[in-house]
Amino acid sequence: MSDEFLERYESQFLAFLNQICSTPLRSLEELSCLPSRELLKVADKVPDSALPLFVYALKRSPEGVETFQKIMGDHDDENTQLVNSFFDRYMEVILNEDDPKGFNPLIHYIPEDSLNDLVFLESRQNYFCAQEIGLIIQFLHYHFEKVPDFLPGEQRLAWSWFWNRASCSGE
Amino acid sequence: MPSPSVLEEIETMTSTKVEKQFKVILFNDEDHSYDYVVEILTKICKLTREQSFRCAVEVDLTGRTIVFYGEREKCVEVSNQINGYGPDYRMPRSIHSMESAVEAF
Repeated sequence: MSDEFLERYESQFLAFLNQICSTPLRSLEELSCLPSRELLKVADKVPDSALPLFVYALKRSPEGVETFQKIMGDHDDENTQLVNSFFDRYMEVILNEDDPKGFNPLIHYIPEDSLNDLVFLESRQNYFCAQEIGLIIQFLHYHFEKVPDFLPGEQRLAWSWFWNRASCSGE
Repeated sequence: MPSPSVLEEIETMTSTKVEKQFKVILFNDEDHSYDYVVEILTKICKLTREQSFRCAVEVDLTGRTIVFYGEREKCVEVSNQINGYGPDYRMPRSIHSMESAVEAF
């Protein structure tokens, strides 16, 4: 979430928080000044879809460690239920359950129609070489035949092979 | 100092009390997703999904989080695995692993 996004909706979100918060807030920065239990109660009233905005507002606090302790309940057992509820809801909003098994980022981010664009490919060199060798070999097999069996650590060698093949096919 | 709350939970989940000689610190950056943090912590540090997520929130809010503690040798091994895990495929601009370091308690 960008700063621009929060800035665009800051006044509306602040107005919303003031409707559900017993302590008047003059700015989003003041949100992290609330006591732990009150902060968690406010979080409990924030709709799931707005929780990322809520956390982003908390990130504005210069006292990040203190703020985190508050949303962890400040070690008060009475807050446990609110803490668990907050993290369960936020986790469901934030995490993607459908990460595909066997997803190959190179196949996804270096698509077939980009193989003739050498300027683009060159810009992807570091990204390519940072991948596991297994993913690189899978990517190469996806596009080419007779791919050598590169070993772990031979990412640069694999890149050279890929670059040569891509360069040649573009001629 | 990072909040000990997540650590306490981790210790509660382990059947034996681990001697806190060294710790592995994970540092925040803007090139990795929450999913990535949860993925590496469940795989490498053997945390549960819930514990990993809380660590992800902690690193996001405070800039750092303790993700493992134990003997120095084991901490170095865990830190090396984190530092060499690879980029986050969910974010095209991500070209490196997250950074971690081993510190003495």
